[in-house]
Amino acid sequence: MNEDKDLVEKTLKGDKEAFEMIVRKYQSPLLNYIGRMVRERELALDLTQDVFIKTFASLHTYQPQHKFSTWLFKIASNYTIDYWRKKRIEAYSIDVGKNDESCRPNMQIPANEPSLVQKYELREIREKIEKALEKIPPSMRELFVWRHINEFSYDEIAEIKDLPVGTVKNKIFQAKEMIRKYLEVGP
Amino acid sequence: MKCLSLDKIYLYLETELPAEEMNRINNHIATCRNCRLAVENRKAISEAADSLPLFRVPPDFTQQVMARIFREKASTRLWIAGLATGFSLIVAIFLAAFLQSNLNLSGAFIQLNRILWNFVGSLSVFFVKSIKVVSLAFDLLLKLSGFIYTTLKSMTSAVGTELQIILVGLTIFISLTLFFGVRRLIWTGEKI
Repeated sequence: MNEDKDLVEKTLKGDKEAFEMIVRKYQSPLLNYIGRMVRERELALDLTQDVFIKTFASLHTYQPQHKFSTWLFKIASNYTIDYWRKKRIEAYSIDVGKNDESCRPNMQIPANEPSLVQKYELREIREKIEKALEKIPPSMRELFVWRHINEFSYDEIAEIKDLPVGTVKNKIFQAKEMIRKYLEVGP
Repeated sequence: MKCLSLDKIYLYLETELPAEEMNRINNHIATCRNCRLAVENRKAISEAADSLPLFRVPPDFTQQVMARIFREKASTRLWIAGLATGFSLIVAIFLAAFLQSNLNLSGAFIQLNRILWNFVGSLSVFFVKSIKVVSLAFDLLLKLSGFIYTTLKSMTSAVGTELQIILVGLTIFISLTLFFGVRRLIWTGEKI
């Protein structure tokens, strides 16, 4: 991770190639995060470019005590939220109910749960998850994507969203339960 | 052991529990069909989620980003350079005029001062004239609205309610068409 910090430092000293390396390293993770959030490839590509430009412009504000990747994804998250607000698509502030117990999923196993493994193949489950992701609230989708597609740890996600780790875990578990229910009722 | 809660299952699947608890859960799911099924389902979802297909980045994406960044940076630089050039040009003209005029430095400043005062003077005249034009336009607008008001008043007594509604609707339609037409002309520079 010190590699990122070195690249930032070099960029700030005017090394163009250092920032190019940052772009190469993070373009795929960012595109996959934004793409899963906006569900449109061309738009996701444009927004990913915008995020890099915004990052470049505010690179001097980056504090090396934070991980660069979490800082970058914080910019991306805020940018996506701003974009949706401008477009008047459902605002998705996760700050509401930061420690709200009501956001905890029902902690008991539902009775008579059917077996998904017998019902679907892995490929079908993937397709169902893609569809289910459109149905779950963006605030949960975002955390789910970071966890499973960007492979961030709970601590990293908590740092990006300024949330307690417990809240992040609960939200992600809740998202998975929503997806499971979608798979359960599906054809 | 009691049946598992959902958060325990998720933490178990992510091996986020102490080894002792992991073993206890292993033993429990070996005997409890319900919990085993619940674990299997959530494991299948997690595995599928971890292997979702990825969006592919176009090969020239990095170049596009870099080009955009440095184009934007260059345009800012260009703006600053333009301003600096303009300022330098004014200073150069002043210096050239000073050298040509055989004046001493204080004489040049007095001359510059005179030019500035003349400019301020002309600007004040322009400002006063502008106010006069605006007040005339306002007067005209008042008279026009008075005329519209009397016309509408006489119209209400002369025609029926239905016709009045049709006429008002028609007027709004024509005004909106004109407004948006003109706006489009201004924004897109479209030729008629």
